Amino acid sequence: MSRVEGTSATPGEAVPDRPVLDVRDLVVSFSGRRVVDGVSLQVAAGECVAIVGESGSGKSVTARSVVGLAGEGARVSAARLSVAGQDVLSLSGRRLRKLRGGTVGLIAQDALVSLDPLRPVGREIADTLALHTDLDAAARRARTVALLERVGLPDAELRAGQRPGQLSGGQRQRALIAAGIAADPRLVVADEPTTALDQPVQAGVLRLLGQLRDEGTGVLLISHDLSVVLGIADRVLVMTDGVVVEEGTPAEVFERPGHPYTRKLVDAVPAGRPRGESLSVSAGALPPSAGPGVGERSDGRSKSADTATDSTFDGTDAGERVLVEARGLSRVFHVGGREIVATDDVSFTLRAGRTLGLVGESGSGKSTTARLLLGLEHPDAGEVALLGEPWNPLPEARRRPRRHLIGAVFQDALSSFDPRWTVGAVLADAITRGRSLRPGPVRAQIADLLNTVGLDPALATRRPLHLSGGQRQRVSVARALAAEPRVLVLDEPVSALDVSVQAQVLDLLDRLQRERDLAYLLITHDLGVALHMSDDLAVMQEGRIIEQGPASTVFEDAEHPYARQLRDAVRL
Amino acid sequence: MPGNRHWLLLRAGGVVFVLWAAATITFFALRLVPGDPAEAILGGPGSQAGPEALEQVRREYGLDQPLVVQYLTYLGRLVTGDLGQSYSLHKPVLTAIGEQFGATLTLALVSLVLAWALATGLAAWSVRGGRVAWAIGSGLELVAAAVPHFWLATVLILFFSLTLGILPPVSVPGPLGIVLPALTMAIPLAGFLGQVMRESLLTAMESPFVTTARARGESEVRIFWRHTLRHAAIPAVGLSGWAFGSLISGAVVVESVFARQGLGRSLLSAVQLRDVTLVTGIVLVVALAYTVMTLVTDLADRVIDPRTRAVAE
Repeated sequence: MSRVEGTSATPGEAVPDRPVLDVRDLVVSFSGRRVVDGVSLQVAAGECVAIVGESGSGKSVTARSVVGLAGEGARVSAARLSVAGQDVLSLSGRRLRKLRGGTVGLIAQDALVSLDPLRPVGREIADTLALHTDLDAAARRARTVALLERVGLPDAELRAGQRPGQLSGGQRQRALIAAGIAADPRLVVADEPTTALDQPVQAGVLRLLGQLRDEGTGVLLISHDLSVVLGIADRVLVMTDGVVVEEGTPAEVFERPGHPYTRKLVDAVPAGRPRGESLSVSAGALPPSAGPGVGERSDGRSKSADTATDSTFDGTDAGERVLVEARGLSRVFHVGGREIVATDDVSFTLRAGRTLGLVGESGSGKSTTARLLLGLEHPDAGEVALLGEPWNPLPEARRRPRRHLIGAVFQDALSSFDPRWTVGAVLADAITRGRSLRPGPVRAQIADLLNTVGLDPALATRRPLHLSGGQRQRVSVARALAAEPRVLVLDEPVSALDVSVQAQVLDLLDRLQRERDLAYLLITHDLGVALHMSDDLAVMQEGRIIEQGPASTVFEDAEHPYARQLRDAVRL
Repeated sequence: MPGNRHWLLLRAGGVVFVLWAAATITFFALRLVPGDPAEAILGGPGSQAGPEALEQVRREYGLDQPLVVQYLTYLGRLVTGDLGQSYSLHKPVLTAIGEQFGATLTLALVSLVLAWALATGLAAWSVRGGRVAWAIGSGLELVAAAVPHFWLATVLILFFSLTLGILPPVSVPGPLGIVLPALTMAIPLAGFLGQVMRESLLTAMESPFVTTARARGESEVRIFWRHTLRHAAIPAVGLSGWAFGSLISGAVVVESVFARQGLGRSLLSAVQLRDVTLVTGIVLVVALAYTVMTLVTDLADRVIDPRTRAVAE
């Protein structure tokens, strides 16, 4: 439990409209290191205040200090830290527990394990009620169902009896919100409540928080994504290195960012930014060998024509060479006697130097499509051709000589590495592909690859665990490039990254595509990323591609209701 | 639930298969032992039995029949629950085992419960007590898991019986008599269980759902009982099926050291006296107990971790 050190809080002088949350000069340190350094903020009833910052900025610690859960070994002090007139720092254990859940509802970020995976979600909500209300068991059950209905979970009765693993990410997040607001708290602290959710679901969750605010609850919203808080926050605080560097209305912060860090955050938002425009301010951080500068991007795809001279096909229109042709891909899974159609008659084309963005909610068949393209899954119908030759279905032995033509980058870089291997070993493995090569040239190639993805070659001796998220994702890009592929499958490549790091990785991918004339299949739940990166866009739902076309126009005359929902979510 | 019944039927079939396999293996293994079984029945090679006596024994026990016939007769008897006659005790094997089984089962179950209590307590304390407690906990577990039964038994007798004089050095009837034998078996087992539990307890305590529980105002005690202990118990429950088997084999040593009645001691003397039918009978009963216990732990696992049920369906 966190060690709480109270600096005397001034007893509440008669302020007419006292805020629900009043923080003055909050300092939190872990073993002498200050992670929150003098933060002050107020949240009034019916107001939504957002803290925006990247991982390590101290925003989550600030939020958790409000309920005395800053973390193991944290030292917390503040000139004032009061919730609904109660001084959090001087509360006893019992009173503090009454505050948690009762006066303040904490809504955690959805992860499979934010709710106990062994217990039905309804039980967790009922537990909150048991702790903070006098309702009996039957009344708690009824109230639980009512709460789940209120947060917009269909079949609430059924859902209450299901475990977190049986719900989708959006449903779990709604259940977490229901648990957070069960005891009608006066303040809701929402820590990254929309991260990892599909856009329409994200919009729904934000609407729900807006509703709470309109009903008079104070909302403290924590997010790494500036675009998320724009529509809902009344005031935005930008945090970095434990300090609030900017504060104002969303319009002020977004349109006239005063602090350089805020400008970096604003620039990193991919939504609404044209294809090819650099997102990271610090493009100069890339090594000089990084190829054409960002400004040269305006010439579209002319670069690909230069590098296409080694082409083995008659590329009359070099920029439009078809590398992958997928036709009528269908895959059905049999799970416990039921048929689950993962993909249904999916067709698309990947061209050199172009990106096809594949968007859709989780479970819509995006990942199965990627696996079919990679030849990791056997189609029940349809086929994939690679460079004009059959690719899938085909026996693996005949596929292997051409495997190196398709590479992949996945979301969770860390678990796609052998944790005992160094970065150099990971890359050497990808370069040699089992052949025995002389170590000298391989080492040179490793250094070359690391340079290409903007990493210091000295990192080759480090293990992936000791790299940052952005560095790890760069290493997986380097690994994917090692075999000199023509096609890259990017499965949620930036979903786990902070916005500014995400911007750098997206810029890197963009540059590599231009330099190497790569064809990308980009799978993402983030429509902003998809629109920024893609030439063409395909929208998937329930295994089918329901809309497909140039990224700039695909939504213009979208007929399908889901595509319209997506479009509206982006405009939010 | 139809899924549950189906699962149970399947597992019961598995139990029958294991028993058949155990019976078959012991039958043929004992036939492979050099020496004439008829001679053994009459008291071993040293008994100087005459050829007529041997012939009579062979006819009596069906040893003059072809091996296949012997095997089928043996299986047929097993199905009707007839385990044969013990040569050394001169009574039906089933009766002999029945007299001993209760004592061993009690000892094994008491040891198992004791081991769980020790492991849970140690794991909970060492996880919550910081780095020093963690080191002490893991050290204790390692030592406990490594101690042999006979040495531990001797040390416990020296300390509790001879130095303190509060517990009897040999097994006496009544609850006091079981304390030292049960402790002897429980301590090494607690070492194993504790190692598994401490790891999973720590993982559970660092999971986001614990933060969620704290944020809704749960006390640490309730979080332990309602959430983290359940997660920690999953691997330990799985281990308990195996542990039960090892407890019964451990009973051979412990029952001998404490001069305690039980299956383990009977097995030891049956092997020494080459009492083939008694050995076979005990092996079968132990196999039955072991498979039933595995079934019970699997059932418990399905109750504690509903996710395993979802996969099976």
